[in-house]
Amino acid sequence: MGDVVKIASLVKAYSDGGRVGPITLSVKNSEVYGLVGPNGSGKTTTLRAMLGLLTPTSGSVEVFGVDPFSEPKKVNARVGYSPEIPTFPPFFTARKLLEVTCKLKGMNAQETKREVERVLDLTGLVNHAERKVASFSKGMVQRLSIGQALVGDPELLVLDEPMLGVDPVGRVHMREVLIEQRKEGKTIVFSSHELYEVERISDRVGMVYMGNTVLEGSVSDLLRSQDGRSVVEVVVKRRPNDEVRAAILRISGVKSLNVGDNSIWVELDNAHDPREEIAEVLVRSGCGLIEMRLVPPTLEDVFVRVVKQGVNS
Amino acid sequence: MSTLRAISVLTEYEMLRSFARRRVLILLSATLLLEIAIYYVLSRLPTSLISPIGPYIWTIGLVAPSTALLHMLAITIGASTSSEEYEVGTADFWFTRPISRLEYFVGKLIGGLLLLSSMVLLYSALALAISWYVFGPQSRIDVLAIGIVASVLAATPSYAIGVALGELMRRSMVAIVLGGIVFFGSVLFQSYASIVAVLNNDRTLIDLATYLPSWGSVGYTVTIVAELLDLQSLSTGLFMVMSGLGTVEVGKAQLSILLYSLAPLFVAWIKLRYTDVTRRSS
Repeated sequence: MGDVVKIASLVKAYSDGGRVGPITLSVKNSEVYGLVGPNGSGKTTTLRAMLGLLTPTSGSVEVFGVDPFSEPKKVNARVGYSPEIPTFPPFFTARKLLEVTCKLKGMNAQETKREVERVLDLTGLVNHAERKVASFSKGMVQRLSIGQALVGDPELLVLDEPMLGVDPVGRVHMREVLIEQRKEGKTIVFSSHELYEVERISDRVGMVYMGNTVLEGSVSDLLRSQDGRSVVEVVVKRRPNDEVRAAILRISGVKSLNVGDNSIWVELDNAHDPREEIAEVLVRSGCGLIEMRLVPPTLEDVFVRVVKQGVNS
Repeated sequence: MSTLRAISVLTEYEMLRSFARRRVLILLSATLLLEIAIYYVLSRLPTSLISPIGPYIWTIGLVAPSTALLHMLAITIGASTSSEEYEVGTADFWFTRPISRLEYFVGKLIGGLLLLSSMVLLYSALALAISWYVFGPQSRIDVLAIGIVASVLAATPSYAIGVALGELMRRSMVAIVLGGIVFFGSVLFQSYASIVAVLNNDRTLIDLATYLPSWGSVGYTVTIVAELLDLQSLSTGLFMVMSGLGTVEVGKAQLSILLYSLAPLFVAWIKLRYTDVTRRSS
């Protein structure tokens, strides 16, 4: 499996003093790569560099082995892109917009007609095909944006915040579309604030923070990483007193403890599984044990920790 | 094949986009109103004054806008052609299609020029229609096509300056204002240089004025039309009335038009090719 995208030490310095990088990442063929990070961390800059919309100040960007800034036509013929804030010519209808994209992708009249119908159907915009884009709601524009990115069945999809502004029903629909693309073996690079979405769809994740790549790896690796600690949620009969709390904290593998009225949350070090010992302490102390549930770490936990570490350092 | 297809898509888009803009439509309406106003004034002149040029009076409607309004129209179209995609945010859409930046640039340039040509055609046709209706049958209609081509050619430097300023500023209104300053500043300098040259009997300033962007383009159409009609004296008279500027040497004017068209377009192309696609700016 070769690298479809290869970004090495990408640095972008803007004229207003803003700076992003160094960012290093690679995306393999048929991989779904989620790019996460807080606002202004450099996600959009990274994606725009992949499309040849901006030139790196230093470092290199290769898509299908080609520099996208020097040869945008070659790259864009194989890529479908949906921007963070999609803006289309307002006087175009949805159909016209898709037709133009089909034409530029080299399709003839028959192929264009077929492809436009396919994409309208896929994005649920069949009934809005003749409406001007200017009259579209934010969610409809986002759906059209994903649609135009899918025109011509591109090998690589680059989606910047694809779920932004989409209503819950539309979101489910768009997720299904992306999962379908994934099944078809498409390479997808997308950025999102919706870490739940990233976790569900991605094979690998890259985290950028303050313009740098701070973590990169498969979702399971990241969750297993030192920052990916699990939490056990325990429902008890009686609130544990200080003595019981201290006893739990002494158990090997317990990192920290939070206590509510009838629940406690024990943060675990993934090297040990101390659930049996915790249960024993609770039962022996008379707090009782109604339910014990392992809450696996989420990308959000990992992400929040990375950001907190960044702030602290 | 793919290059031709890309250019034709961009050309069609540019024409559609321009017609959807209020700014261009306002300027076009102003130009058409100017035509009506000119013929209204001419119709009030004594018959003895009008009758010698009566059969050719349609040419005034062809020439008059090319002294100023046509250039403002060209600057507006040019500046909007290059900068509005960045302002509106549609630049990302076009630059992520499988087209090269050269195809984008050429397609949009042709679209803008076609729009400009269609506007010249429109006001020339209006001039001919009004002249025929008010002053009776008109002669030498064969000059119309050449006159239209000459008008478009004469407006090309203004269009190119608009394109360059639009690409450099990436703000249409700033580019239009700057383009207007360049054009009217050049015309003003040329006018004052002519007056001072006559008063001082010194041709140095007039020679200097020939290097200005307006020199070739403002006098070109009237010179071409007058030469074709073999009305040199009328040409001078009309021209003095309408712009206060002298006629031009055709060869030199064509060279000036060529240079002032190519140089700004080259600057615009370099900026477009080697800099980032900026995100929505308004």
